[in-house]
Amino acid sequence: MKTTRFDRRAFLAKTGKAGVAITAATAGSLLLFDSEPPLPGLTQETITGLPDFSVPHGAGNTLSIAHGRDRKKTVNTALKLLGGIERFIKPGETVAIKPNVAFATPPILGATTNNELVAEVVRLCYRQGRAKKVIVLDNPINDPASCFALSGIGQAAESAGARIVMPRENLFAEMTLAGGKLIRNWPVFLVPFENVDKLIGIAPVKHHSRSGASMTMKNWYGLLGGRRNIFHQDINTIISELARMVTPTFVILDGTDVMMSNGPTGGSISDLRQTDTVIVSCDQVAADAYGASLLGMKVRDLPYLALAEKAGLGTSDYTSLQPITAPA
Amino acid sequence: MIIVLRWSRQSVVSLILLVVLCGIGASILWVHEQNNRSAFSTYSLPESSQFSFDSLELIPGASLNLPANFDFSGKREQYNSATLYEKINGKAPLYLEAGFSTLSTQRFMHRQNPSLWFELFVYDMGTALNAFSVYSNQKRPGATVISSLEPNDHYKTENGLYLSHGTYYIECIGSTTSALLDEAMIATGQDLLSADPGSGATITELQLFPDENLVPGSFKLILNNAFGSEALHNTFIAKYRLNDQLVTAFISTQDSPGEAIQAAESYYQFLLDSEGAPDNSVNSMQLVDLYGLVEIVFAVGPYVAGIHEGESRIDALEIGGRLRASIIKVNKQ
Repeated sequence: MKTTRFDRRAFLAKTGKAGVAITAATAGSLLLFDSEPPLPGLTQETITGLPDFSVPHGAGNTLSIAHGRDRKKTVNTALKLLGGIERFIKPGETVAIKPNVAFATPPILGATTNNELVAEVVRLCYRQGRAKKVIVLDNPINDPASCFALSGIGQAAESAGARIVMPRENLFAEMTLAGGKLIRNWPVFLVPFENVDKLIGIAPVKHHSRSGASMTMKNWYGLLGGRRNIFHQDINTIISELARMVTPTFVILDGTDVMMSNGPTGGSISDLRQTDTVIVSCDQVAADAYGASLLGMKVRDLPYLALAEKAGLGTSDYTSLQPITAPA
Repeated sequence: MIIVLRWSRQSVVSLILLVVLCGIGASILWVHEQNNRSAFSTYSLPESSQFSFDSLELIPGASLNLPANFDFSGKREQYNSATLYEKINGKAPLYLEAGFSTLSTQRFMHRQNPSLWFELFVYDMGTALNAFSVYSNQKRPGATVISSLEPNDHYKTENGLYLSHGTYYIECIGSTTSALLDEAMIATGQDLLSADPGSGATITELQLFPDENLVPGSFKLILNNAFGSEALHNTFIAKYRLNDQLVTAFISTQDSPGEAIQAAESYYQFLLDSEGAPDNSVNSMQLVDLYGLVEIVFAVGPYVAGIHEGESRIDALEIGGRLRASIIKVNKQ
């Protein structure tokens, strides 16, 4: 075995060169280091909205309605009427579910999406849609950990196999919505949508003292960060912009128990009325228009519906979609 | 020997470099894992506050004791007008527009059954009128009254207890319907009422309403723009049941008799501008037919009063006449 001999001078020279190379590499890495994680299919230049998660739909296969007390049954029925969840979710896909987890309140108050409904949709994504992964996310109004725990959504979703994505500063990125008046350079809960193929929104039907009602379009408010309460000054515009920001695969509007008054937090079971209805819709404007009727409201009572319709985001004339209704 | 020594030094340097590289690698893996953990972290309730005491003071002078078999859960939360939306979001304007000052909240959890918990909300509304306004405007129909909390303004629903006490509006909201929760919430309400029994004194305007046919607990206070008119502020509303019909009576407090006359005239003009038709058949009161409903307005002393959206002209005049007589009588005393 041949041995190469180094003298002290050669060794120090080589060590010095190695040191310079390591230092240069480290400095280069630091200069190039980007603390912001990569964004979901969007360029770093200007984020103008979330990706389009929709699937083709038209009259007769866009909106379905099922009636009953058992949410598991009604959501299954409503989805079957639209062709089953396999029409929307393909094997191996990653699905994001956005429930309303705004408040640290118990399920019985109906201020948050029903936990059992969320769990059932997660199960459907895995069993019938054969999804690879399902994530459940929201940026609640109250402390996120408390909201996911006390609403029961955290445990229910995880038990069904979903992963909970909690809001964290570096999961937000600034967005300037294309054509947006309010969502400009605003932090949005975007990063979790990296590699997401389909998006499902699930919202309860609630009275809202500011906007009149909180349903599927208002539910996307939970994707906003920052001091978003300032948007309450122009509530109709922000809700229509949220609907423009998010094009979901479909939405589920839970009108099993409707919060008729004292919304959006409620506080008493007596604020709720049993209307035993679940709506599944590819058109969120149509879903909310139907939801208005459960609150005893007309479409004209909710100006954001007209704004969204005018922006081409859907139709408030849900009958034009030839809704499919399951026999009671 | 020298060669061995040189190799040994090089080996040491190499080893140091390898250790540094391994350290960098391990750090990268650790940071990556931490990111993953927090991004997909399991949710849980914040740890219970390690209170070393068994009472709490949310209202000055009211020592709030732990209800039997309950513990504090989580920490006391406090909000001001800038942060109220972080607790109640879209409902915040209701309080802010009614003079909200601060909110303190605290959860209580049953020791043996964690699914039994309630959250106490104590809103300091600045004045008793403000507190009564948010209390009355959210009042749930069909609520029950708890004798041990009388005569304070309060009511109970299946899972909640609601009180107006002095400058405070108080809610206890239970996680479910349960006799254990009811007991604990009522005990908490009693503790809070003990702070200053006098501060729950009757609001004087409510005594102006006549008792006959009054629907119990139907009082409501609208601070501004009652019935859409800027002329009506601090407007108390009461419901009367007469001939199986509900009649809505109102009294708006103005600063002086002169301002009351002016406000009554402004409201009358507002009704006419809203396409109402004047009805001059009664001298002591001004009547307007608004799309088939009867509106009545008159001024007595510093009060503007009347009937809103009466379905029956006869019933509206009956209650309106009684209301006017009652105000005149009380105003003279």
